[in-house]
Amino acid sequence: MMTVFGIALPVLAGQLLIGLFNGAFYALLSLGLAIIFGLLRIINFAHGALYMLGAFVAFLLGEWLGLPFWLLLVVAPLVVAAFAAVIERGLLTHLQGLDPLYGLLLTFGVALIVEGLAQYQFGVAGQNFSAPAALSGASNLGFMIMPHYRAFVIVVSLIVCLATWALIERTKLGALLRAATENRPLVEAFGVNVPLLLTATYAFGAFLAAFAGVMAAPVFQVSPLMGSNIVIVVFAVVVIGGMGSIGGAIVSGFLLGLAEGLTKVIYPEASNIVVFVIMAIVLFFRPSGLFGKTV
Amino acid sequence: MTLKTTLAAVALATTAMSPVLAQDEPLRLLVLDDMTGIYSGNGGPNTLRAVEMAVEDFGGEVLGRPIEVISADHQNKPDVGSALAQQFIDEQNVVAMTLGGSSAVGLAAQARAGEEGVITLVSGGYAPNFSGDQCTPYSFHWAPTTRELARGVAGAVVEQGGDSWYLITPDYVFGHALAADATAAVEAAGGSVVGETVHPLNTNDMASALLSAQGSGAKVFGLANAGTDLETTIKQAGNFGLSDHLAAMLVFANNVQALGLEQAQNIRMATSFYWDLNDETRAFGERIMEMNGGEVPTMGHAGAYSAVTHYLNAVREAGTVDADTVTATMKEMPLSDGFYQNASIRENGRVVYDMLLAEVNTPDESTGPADIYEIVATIPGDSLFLSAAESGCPLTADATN
Repeated sequence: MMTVFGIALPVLAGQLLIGLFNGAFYALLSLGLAIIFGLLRIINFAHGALYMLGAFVAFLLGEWLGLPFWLLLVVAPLVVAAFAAVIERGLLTHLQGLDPLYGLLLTFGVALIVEGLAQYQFGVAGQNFSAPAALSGASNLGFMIMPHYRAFVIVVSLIVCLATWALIERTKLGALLRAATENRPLVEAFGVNVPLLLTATYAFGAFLAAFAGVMAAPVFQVSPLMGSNIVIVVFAVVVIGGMGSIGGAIVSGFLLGLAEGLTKVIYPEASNIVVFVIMAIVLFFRPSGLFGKTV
Repeated sequence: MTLKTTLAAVALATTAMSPVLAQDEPLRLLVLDDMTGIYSGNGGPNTLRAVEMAVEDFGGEVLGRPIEVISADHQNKPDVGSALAQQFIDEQNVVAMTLGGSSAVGLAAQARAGEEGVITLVSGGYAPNFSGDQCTPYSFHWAPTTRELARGVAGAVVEQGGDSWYLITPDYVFGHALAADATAAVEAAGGSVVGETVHPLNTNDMASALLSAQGSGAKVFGLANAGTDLETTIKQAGNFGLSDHLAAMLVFANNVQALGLEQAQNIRMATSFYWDLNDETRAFGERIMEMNGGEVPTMGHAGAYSAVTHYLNAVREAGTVDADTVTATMKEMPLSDGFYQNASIRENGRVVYDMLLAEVNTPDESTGPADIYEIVATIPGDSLFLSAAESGCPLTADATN
């Protein structure tokens, strides 16, 4: 049997598929972050909390209303997006034009409040959230047993990421968004309601984060700490991809998921830090990230 | 400073120093634990409740002094834990503390307390070092160690045919201790350990470790992790259809409740306490569940209650809070809470009792949300725990060595 790094090829392939699965979450989350930063110039530290809220709202709606998973995939992110819109309108608009550091501090504060309240209410141990029956079970691919749910997540994230990229880079609405960042007064002069556009963008970024959260719920523990664990890694992914580059965020997300998956099988003790090591290396050679525009 | 100011300052200082009548100052106990992090479920706020219950049941005062319970959150950080221990000893004259959460923190705090002559009651630290090479003259180890936990489960599983093991270990002192003990226990029972994955603490995706385990061909996946890492591993093992390979070595009641019986059923583990064992444990269990909304108490919570009760009994018996006297008294007096069978305390502070081999109920077997375990065997403690001479504690090491 062929071995790479001393690991049998089938085992490696299995581990890389797992890496792709984690990469899907990194991609979705860094996509949301990149959109929010690229278009609103806000470093959204609340992104992890929004991801966690998505999972919790799905858990609660499932408990109280018994909604099926498919519905929760859409409804829970909409609820979180509405909450995010309120935050944007109420708090973030006032920071427009100021140093991005203020946005970072504000969103960090929001994250702490949200996570603190969740922890107060639910404690730290995870809540139980099951995958829908249609997706449970696994298939034997020969080199590994692949749970259907994980395959579903990879496919759906890819679709959502590509659709979002197409929306922003290839449609008129996307062009409008990009124009509003570059020259806001001019776009306003054309009669476009820019504040509404920015609120909608923040809400959309939150929708993506919450969507990732709902998909994470059946696999990871639905715990108030789930957001803070992942958001730091996601920031590193966005930086590697290039702040503001939508396509870069998606590609780096999946690539770094693969890198992490590889590390977990070669030297698992380092799997927590490999993303940051890569970030340090990338920034050393390309300070604006892999796909970022040189500033 | 002028002479007048100096004299005034000295007078003030001496009056301030004049002994506040010992009767007036409360006797302070510190509960130093992980109150909000990954181990707050098996210790944390319920440990505080257990200690407060113990104080209340004791009567709230001893030797004419009211008893005050303070708690602090060390967040599983050793520097925070040892700083907090020092601070409370210096500023609040804490005489005894319960320790829980990460063993690394507990050991740091125990070292600080030992130097200051403060009694440590380790109800939630499972590394063997507490009563082993890092024992102090005032340390007591109520929680079972990784050695007893591993041996309790490993022997039983190997006997049933699970003779090749793959270990999944968290990368810190407790994890490595548990993995080492599990390896020794498996080999002693005639099995072998074919591989190991060491993962960072607080990993949210255990899939690659599980895949590596599966790839090794081992019959049993020995889980040497705890808390949320353990819950994640069990849950994801279910996703991959690998549940029947699992043997878990440190499982708490709160982990089982979080996972639900559907996912945790039939897992075997060793524990020092189960609430539904006898009348005394039931009384304690029902009271604490009423206070916390139905969270089944873990062996950490029961250990804290037992430890504080025993400490207060010893203080009353000895008639003093002097650490040396109370320590000696604690080691002589029998435990009175009825939680443990054949309990005694060894010279190195190790509390010895019979352990219970528990199996998690299936959803059909369970009669209620708190009915989570079936006790399938009792493992006699006398032969299970190391003797004081063998423990590695420098204070009790064999004189002939």
